[in-house]
Amino acid sequence: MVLTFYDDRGVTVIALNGGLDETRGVELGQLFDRLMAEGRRQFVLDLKAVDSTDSAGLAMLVRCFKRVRSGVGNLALIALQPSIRRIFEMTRLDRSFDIYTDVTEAVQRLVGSQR
Amino acid sequence: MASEMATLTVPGLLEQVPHIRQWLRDMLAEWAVSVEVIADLALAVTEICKNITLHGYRDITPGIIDVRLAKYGDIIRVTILDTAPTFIPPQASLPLPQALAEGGYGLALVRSLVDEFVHDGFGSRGNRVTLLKKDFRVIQL
Repeated sequence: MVLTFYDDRGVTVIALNGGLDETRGVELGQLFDRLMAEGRRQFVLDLKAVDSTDSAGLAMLVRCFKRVRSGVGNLALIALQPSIRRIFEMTRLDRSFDIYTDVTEAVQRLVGSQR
Repeated sequence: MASEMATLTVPGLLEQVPHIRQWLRDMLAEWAVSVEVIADLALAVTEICKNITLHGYRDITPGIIDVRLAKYGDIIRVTILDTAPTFIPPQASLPLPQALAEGGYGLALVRSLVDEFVHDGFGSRGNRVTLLKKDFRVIQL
């Protein structure tokens, strides 16, 4: 999995690529730790290039979400592929995360929530 | 009578799980099973096999994982056997969304992905998990 990120109006947009399993989830957790240590608190996770996940990957995503929230931050997800959205629905995690269709909408919501 | 059958036996080790998953994908693709059903079964089998390696064989010398695939018309049956002590699956109710649980999704996910999930325990002789999945795309002529 390739992790890339950029800043958009104070929101850090992280793009994931490939499968999201436990190993990749650990890498993502380490990236969140680093970015939060730099003072970043608002995150968007772009999942449009994520084509598979499993229960361990979901658990790692929840762990990252809790880590961000415990730092008084926000994390939104965008662009879930139908197969990934279905897994979120099966596990009811679609009710736990804020999920948007694109980065513009997600960044706007996060920027708005800081005002 | 099954129209297609295949079996794979591997050591019950975590590093074998991707191999099992790929083998299952390849076999089902060869049998012209729909990509949706292949994806669901690949994930379900991954979850079961990970459970076997991480929990079933955790405190003992790992035995084997035996995966048997069969296709009966539009029904795919996957049977997974291990030699770990009998595992009693929880009712697999999902964690509440507001609980933000960092686990507990595996078996609940498996139950959602397949049409039928059956676990049989054989005491010290192992476990058998049977998954049934209907491939609605298959048209019987």
